[in-house]
Amino acid sequence: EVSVTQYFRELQSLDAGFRQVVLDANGRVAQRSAGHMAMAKPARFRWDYTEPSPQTIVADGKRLWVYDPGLEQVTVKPLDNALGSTPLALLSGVAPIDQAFSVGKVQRIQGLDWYTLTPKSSDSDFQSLRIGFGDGELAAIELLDKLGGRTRLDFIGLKHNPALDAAEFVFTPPAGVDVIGDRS
Amino acid sequence: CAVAPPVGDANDNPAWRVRSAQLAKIDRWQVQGRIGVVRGREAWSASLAWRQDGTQYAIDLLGPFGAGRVHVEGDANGVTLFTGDGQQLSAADADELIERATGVAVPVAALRDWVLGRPQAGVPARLQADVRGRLTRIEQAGWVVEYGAWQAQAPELPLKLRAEHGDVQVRLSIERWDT
Repeated sequence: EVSVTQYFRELQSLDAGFRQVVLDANGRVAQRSAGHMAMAKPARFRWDYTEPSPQTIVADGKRLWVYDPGLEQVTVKPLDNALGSTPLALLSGVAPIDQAFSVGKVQRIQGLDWYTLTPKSSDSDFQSLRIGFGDGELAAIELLDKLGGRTRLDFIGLKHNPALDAAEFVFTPPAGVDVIGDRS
Repeated sequence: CAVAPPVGDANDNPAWRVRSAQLAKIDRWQVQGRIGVVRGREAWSASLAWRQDGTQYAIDLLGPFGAGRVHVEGDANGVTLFTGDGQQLSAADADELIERATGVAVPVAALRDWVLGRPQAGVPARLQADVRGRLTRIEQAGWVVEYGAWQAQAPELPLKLRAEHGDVQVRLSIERWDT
């Protein structure tokens, strides 16, 4: 059994490949995507989506950068109000677990130990979050939104507390791309 | 964007007249790609899936991690928007609905034609086309639409477009077409 709160308190950094599937309310696949992610507390992470189309999301501790090569567009916002209580906030230690969620009992499903986290604030933008552990290690996250839509994120080759290069969490907009938003 | 071949007024371009007739026949299609909306110093982007079947349509917008999900369903009679955080809004037409939901005037009805590389039917427009008859620019309903890339093979539907009006710019980058 895993103490979810302790796992995320003890977690300092992460590096993993991921596959993501978004299902609509009647279980049909709305989108499949994949890529690589890295995270380092406090409040720094990088998500590089490679499929279906490239997109890079970087939190550098102060700002959230979203780069869409296809749209030739970079948006930048202050980090704190951009995260809300999304899985991102959870993973990067911005929102301590037990402060933001109540943690349910473990359920063993398809080889993973799943815990259901219900947001304590009613105005969160999703219904509930489930976290799956395999052999005590983070394996999957599932987000259920209030429309019945579901986002399932599976981690691949996860490295727990790896040493990461700080430069990985610095985003420099490529030349010729419009940067829109608040860089302060 | 790629530099399009020399362009001229589309109306005296026979290749555009042929193409225009072909495009007019498409009324069932589906696209997947990304949409970006810029207004002044604010910007937003999402993945986009749009299915159109005659006057019936469904549009799905997804932010990163499936967050910020928006589902829009509509037909000639009206349109309803559902959001991932449980809101539901209805309106007579999609333009009014999206503006009420997001505060930004996104020309959804017109995009239904512009995405195919054709002007909205029955609305005055100034068109420019390249030597292959592909529209490179549409000025219509106060918007300026410019195309940056097309499919390599027939029917060479657009893959990149920008539509601008005042301080609002809508960008589309399409990965997949199904007609």
